[in-house]
Amino acid sequence: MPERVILCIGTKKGLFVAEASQTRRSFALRGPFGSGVAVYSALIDTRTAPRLYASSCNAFFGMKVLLSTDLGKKFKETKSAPAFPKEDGRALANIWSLEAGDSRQDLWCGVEPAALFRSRDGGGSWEMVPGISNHVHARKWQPGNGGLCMHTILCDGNRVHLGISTGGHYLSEDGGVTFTAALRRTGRGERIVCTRS
Amino acid sequence: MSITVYIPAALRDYCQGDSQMMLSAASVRAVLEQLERSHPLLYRSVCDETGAVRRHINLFINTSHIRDLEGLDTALVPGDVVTILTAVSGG
Repeated sequence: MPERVILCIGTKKGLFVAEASQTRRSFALRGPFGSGVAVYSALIDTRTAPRLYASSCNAFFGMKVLLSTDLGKKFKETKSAPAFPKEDGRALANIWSLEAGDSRQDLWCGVEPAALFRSRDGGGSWEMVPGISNHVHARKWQPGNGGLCMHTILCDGNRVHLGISTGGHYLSEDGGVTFTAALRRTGRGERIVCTRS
Repeated sequence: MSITVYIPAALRDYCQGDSQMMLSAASVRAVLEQLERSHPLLYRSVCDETGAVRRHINLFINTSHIRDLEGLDTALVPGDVVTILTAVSGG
């Protein structure tokens, strides 16, 4: 049973962190962090000493990733944020998803326009994952109502599931190197459930 | 040639709190290239990955917007002032 419960809440006005004892009778709220800037995704990473990550999606100044190493008492920007290679021609419009990878420092990040980035050093540096970002389908995807976004990343060992609006569900079974469209039986009402041991 | 670049308050964390910088540059593009080398986080807040000035960021040379001049290729002369100005909206 945990001693404390931490909840990250992304809003259009920034990130709020709610903290409670294990009884959850009442929560104390901190924030907003990244005040005035929308937070589309947050990650509580407990693989080692807890780290809280949040995307900070600034319409004026671009995308940042915020990091807290003190359970959300203060946040600072990571050394770098995901960015397309200059020659790619695409520009980041939003960070929609953050997910912990397999190794302790491994992070995944899904963005708009739909592409996947990976950090192997806890957010200090990022590289685009070409297996999905340059997938043969990528230039044919069309945006959903919320934009052409990679909104969901689910990791299960070497399997990496991605949800793309409206590209659909893509699956890697080699740790994120190659991806295939896995659209059968992903119709309305079905869910993909992954657990991390 | 000495060009003054005014930095908006929201971006001064990326340049040690400075409100202005003095640069030698012959064009707006050269100013941005210098910023990219010397202050990459500041640069990335002004321009996206493709090198384009972000949609809600405006660059003025003295009192003229660069879109009304020659864009990034606008030539600069000593004493020019480059102002980085964010758009303001509301209702």
